[in-house]
Amino acid sequence: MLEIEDLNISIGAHQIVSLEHLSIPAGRRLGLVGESGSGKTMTAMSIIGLLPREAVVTGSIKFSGVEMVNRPERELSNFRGSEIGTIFQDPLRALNPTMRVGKQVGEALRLHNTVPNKGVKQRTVELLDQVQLPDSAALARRYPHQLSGGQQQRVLIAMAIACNPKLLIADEPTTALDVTVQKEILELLARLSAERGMAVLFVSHDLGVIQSISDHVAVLYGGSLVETGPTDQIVGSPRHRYTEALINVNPGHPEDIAASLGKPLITIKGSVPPLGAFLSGCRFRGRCPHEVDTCATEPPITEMPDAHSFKCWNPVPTTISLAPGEAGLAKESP
Amino acid sequence: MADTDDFEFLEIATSGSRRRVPPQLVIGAVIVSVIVGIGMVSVFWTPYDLNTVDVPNQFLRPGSDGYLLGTDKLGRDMTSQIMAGARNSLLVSMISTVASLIPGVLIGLLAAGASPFWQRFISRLTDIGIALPGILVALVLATSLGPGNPTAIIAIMFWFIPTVARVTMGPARQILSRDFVEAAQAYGRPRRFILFRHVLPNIGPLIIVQASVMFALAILIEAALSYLGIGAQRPTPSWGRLLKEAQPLIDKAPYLMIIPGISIMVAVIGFNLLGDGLRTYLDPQQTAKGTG
Amino acid sequence: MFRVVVRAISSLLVSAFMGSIVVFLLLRMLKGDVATVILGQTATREALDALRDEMGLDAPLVQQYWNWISGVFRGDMGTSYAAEFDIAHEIWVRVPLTFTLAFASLILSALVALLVGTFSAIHAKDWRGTWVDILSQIGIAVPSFWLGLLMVTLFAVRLGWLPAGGYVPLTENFIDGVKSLTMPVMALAIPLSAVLVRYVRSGMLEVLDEDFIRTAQAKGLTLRRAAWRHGIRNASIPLVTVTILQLGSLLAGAVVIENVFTLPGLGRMLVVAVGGREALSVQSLTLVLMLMILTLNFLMDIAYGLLDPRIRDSGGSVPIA
Repeated sequence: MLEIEDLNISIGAHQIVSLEHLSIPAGRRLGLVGESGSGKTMTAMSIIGLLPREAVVTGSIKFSGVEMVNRPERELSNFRGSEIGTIFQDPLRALNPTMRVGKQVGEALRLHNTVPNKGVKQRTVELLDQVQLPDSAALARRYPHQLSGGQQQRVLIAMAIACNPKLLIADEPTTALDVTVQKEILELLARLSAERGMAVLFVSHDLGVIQSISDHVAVLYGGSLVETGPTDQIVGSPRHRYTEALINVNPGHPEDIAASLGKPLITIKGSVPPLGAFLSGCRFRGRCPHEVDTCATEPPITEMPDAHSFKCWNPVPTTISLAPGEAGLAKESP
Repeated sequence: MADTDDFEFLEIATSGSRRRVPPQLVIGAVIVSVIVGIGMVSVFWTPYDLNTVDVPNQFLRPGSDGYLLGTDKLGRDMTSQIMAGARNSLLVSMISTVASLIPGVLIGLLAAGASPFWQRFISRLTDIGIALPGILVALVLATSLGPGNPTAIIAIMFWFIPTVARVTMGPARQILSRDFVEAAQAYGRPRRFILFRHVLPNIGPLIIVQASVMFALAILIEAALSYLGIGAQRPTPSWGRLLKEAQPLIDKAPYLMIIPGISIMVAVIGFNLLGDGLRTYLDPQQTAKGTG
Repeated sequence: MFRVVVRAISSLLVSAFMGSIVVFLLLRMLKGDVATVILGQTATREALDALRDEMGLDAPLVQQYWNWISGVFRGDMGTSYAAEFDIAHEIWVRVPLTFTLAFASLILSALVALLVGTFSAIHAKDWRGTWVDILSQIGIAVPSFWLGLLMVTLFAVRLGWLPAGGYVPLTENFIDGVKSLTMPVMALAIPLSAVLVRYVRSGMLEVLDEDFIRTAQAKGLTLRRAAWRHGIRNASIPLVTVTILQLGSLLAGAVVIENVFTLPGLGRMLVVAVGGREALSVQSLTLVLMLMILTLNFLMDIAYGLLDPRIRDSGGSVPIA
């Protein structure tokens, strides 16, 4: 349903995203994972054309067969909110502080004439019920700052699903929330997606979060797709060295925290280089502990069975299982 | 833990064009220098004597032979009066601005270093000072002092000192809470030393910008006061008084009203642009914000 | 909301009290002797003494202040020395005109600033934004009284559409009243809106960067519609703060403008009183003008609470970043 081909996003002389291929079939959930600055938010926002003015986009993003790249704002806005819903990272800031939340949800309904004007109020309350907000009729009359973080995010979700979108873009929807609330929101998103057959593009820097919600994972590094495949394969037997490192970094789920206590917290050596400072060839070069000479040239895409593919000259061998902390990752105290 | 993600890139993308001299600064500086130049020349030379009455040559249109900007109802040369008006306007504005800056900055600095009680007390006082506009104070003062440039200057100061104190106090408090100031305190530096050696230089640019904005405002107030008859009296030349004199004649000789007005406007634009330009130049992060 | 009102009222009272002291002292401290001010330097000793006695000027300052301010509360501000009219009454009948003039200009300039400022923020990067910038730069620099004179020349002298001066009360003849106030209000509002536009514009530019604008776009609004629907209210909140700071200038401008258009308001009375050196009138007039500034300030404080639900809940502290 969503097909991205040869997507290039650049600002000024800097290329921020360069993707060969990425797709989400209807009703499926794709997790897009990467560190800060990997271009994951840019990629997600390019689908609905919400990029900074300076950004130049080339390539193709087809949504239900319709080309979205460089479509005029007026036409894109017909898709936004109706066919494609979006939720954002910081729910308090994503809501208008001076408007009652019910009105903000209702606005989406009115805008796309989903229900007749008379039915907007009732439908708003129904939507708030569907995202499991308590006492929804009273809650609709409150202002964002009067709700908890989890409730705010639920309001945003209600707003995003108001017009039964075919695709939901969730940009770090749980990052700003407490761990327990995170889990509830993830479950809610998974349930809504299953019930409505709604595809989800889930963007996060947290592989653990992605793992719990998505069928497929795409790993982004430096604006380039390094590995993509079914979730269990990516997590169970990653091939790209960056994915491998990410898995080792992930301290696991809340329930695993007890298990991880006492073990050193592992981080990836260095940080994502500033824009324009990437070396040629593989972008992970310089931080990768498994660098070989050929890494200086662009790695080829290796296709594996089960739609698993990666771009690495010296991939993780499939036969050997990994122990955390191995493979020369730097150990640092938090 | 906010994920800044892609926004770091924007910083990089837009940087590089900084520390360019902004065009407002150039235009403002040019206008200001021309006006200051005219004002200075008028001290030594004007085409005609300012107050010599020459009735046969009354109401000459601008561009008339020998009279670039024409003559008024008594045949006095407008060019000369406009030139000398610039001098008076600049003088009043400069004295009142400088005389406000010194006590204003002092009060602001000392208040910033004072206890919360004094800080609140001074904020309250400055609130009232700001609520009492210069023109009102001038009118009150004129009742006891009589009209004239000194009245205008004192009245403008009355309005500006609280403003300057206010503008100084906030940033000064911010700087006082910074690390290097705390380090100096830990050294045992006396409070006054810190205020003048560390805080003052840091808010210097802000004060310079404020000064040029106030200068522009002072020109406007001086003009308004002279127009109301509270500012400069004849024979002292003044743009505002020229407007007052021109008002009864607007159907007969509108240029007598238009020329001084344009002079005031251009002078004010000059100082405002200078202030805007300096603000942009001295603080590149503020580039996009055009607040005055 | 109740707490916001209480806070605003108490701040109004404190400021009014301190302001009245400032005005009182201003008239007394400089040359010390109100009697000389009123009668002039050439007055005889006997005349001065008689006047001092009559006005209670020999009493200690505190006593004098009390006499004045308690009189004000009773509605007794004394009698004009030269013209022999009751000052309180004379002020009272002039208040509506000056207040109407100031309030109308305030509302008009805030509205214009919101519309133009939002427009120029949306078009910040093209020629339309630049034009608004240039126009506001000029508008700020135009003296309001000169603008008034220009308008008189054009609309009254040349075209004859509007009266050059004078005032018809709105309650007497609404159409003529509006006509007589049109030019004065415009002359005050244009420079003020030029000042405010720049704040709205930069405020709106900040609001347009806010996440909730992006949410509104993601919902299906175009940027322009998102700015109008979600931005205006949020951008008006900082506008209120700036407008409060401009109230003093606004009233000062009203004083000058009344003299341009010979409107029988407080400003006209004040300038005449200053010309006649009527210390008593000047003192009370200034107090009333100051109260008017503080009242408008109070209304603005309330507007704050109405615009921002967060302030309503917190009771007046402003959580604006």
